[in-house]
Amino acid sequence: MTFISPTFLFLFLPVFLLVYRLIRPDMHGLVLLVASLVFIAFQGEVYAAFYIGFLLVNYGLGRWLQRGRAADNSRHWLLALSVGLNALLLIAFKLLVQSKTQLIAWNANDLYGLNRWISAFALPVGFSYTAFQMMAYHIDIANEITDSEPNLLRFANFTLMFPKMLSGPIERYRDIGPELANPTASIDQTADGLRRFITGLAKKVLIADVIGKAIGPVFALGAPNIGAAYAWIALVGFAVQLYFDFSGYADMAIGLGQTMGFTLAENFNYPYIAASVSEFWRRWHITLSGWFRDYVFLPIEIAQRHKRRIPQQANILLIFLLTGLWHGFTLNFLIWGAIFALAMILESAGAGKWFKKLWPPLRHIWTLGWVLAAWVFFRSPDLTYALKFFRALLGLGPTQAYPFSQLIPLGLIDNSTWLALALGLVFSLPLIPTIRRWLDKRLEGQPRELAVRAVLRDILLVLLLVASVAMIASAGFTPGVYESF
Amino acid sequence: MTDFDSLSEVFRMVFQNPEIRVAAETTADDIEGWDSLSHVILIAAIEDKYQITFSSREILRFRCVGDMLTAINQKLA
Repeated sequence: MTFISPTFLFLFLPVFLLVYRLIRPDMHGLVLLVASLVFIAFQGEVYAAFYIGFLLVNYGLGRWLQRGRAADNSRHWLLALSVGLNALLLIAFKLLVQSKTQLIAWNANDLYGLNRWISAFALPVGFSYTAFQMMAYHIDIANEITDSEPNLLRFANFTLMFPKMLSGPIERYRDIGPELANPTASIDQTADGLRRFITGLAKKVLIADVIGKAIGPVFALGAPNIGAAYAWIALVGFAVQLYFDFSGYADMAIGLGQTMGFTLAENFNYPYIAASVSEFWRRWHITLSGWFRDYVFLPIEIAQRHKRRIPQQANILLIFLLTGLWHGFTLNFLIWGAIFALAMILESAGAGKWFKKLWPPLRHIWTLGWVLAAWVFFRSPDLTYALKFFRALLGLGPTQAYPFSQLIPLGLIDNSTWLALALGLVFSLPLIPTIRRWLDKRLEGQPRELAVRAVLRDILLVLLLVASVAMIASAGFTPGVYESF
Repeated sequence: MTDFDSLSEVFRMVFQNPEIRVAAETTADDIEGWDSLSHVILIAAIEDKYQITFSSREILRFRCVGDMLTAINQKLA
């Protein structure tokens, strides 16, 4: 069950919201926990059992760390234990998922009947996000940035609340902690949350999935034997698909949080308008880049601020390689990280001063060039495919098998794809906030016009909801790209 | 004891902007160029100016310029 599956939209969410609004506010925490466990159990009962154990261990570690943090010695080893346990679990799970085939091949005689378990193993839903959230929680306790949460129910909701279970955002306890004590939402907040949810649903279903359906087959080919035009459409299409998929998911998560009185962290801020790669990373997957900045990059930089042992460039490379590995232990993700690191190093080194004086449109081209190059590695199934894809982009690859002109009759790209792509490109620009500000100014002090505007906005949202549901009903639903990490 | 006027001088030097005036609630969002790369340079410049050394934990706890000034004055006291 994901946010766009019919079970969630027509059963889970309405029942949850009804119960949440009707029940006494002091029961909200309990209702949310039960709902979150049910939501996780829908992905697999074993995950719910795993997460109960996981949260109890982390709850205990957090309390222990708080008691031991005053003394340097106990703080260090308790922190190493808490962070190490979460990191090791994440690494072990990711390795296991990745090497299932090899493990089964090695265990050809199926010793102890293990192969059945190995083949059935999957990363617990949202574990990359949850493990990072736990590590941040322990580090913040050790640094006295926050205290540990004494109330187990509140801690459980911090760890497992369903809006952020599938793909984040990676929350900090210091930000969301105060809201866990008494989560309540006014009817206006709930309505605003639902509006945000519908916006995210439409972004995902009407734009990301429509584009994904058309370009997915390209990346499923044995080799990208396509013409340059189609390669560029596939690459730009993927850039739009990924942004609308993941930011649409973030809108849904934030909107759901809002319906119950939580302010979840923003994860995107129009990344494709960035005028440098470093700005791109302040706008893209903000909670992940912020995590690596605050818990890896800054501590290393701070520790060697007077006597440098590791060059800053090496530190930048380290955090981007780790960001790549966070997505998966593959060569493609490592190269993806290295591309961003190289761009950031160039921007922060000597060339940076020259870069800052560059004509702004050229800075945007520079940024998008690096980002698109990185997306080739991100989307390609393997390194060979990625390298061939670059040849296709330059028009140098073989094209006999799938010429551009034959693809349209094959039905891969139709009018709906072009429409979704055009809308995606247009709404990658911050048009809506600009229009909203303009209307706010223009309609200030005119209650009747403001009411008409609110009604028109809600009619538009209802139309988007109907269109999204119709699309889900007719085309089925696809899970979010970032749910697999 | 030091004050925001004195601290503003360090900011002006690090960010090469003579217009900067910091206050207790000033954060990285308010000053152009104050990112994670320049943050560490700023901290080192503050330590040099006031001849003090922060611990890593103290630095990681800074949320705004007010936190910095409080920590500096505690060291200078």
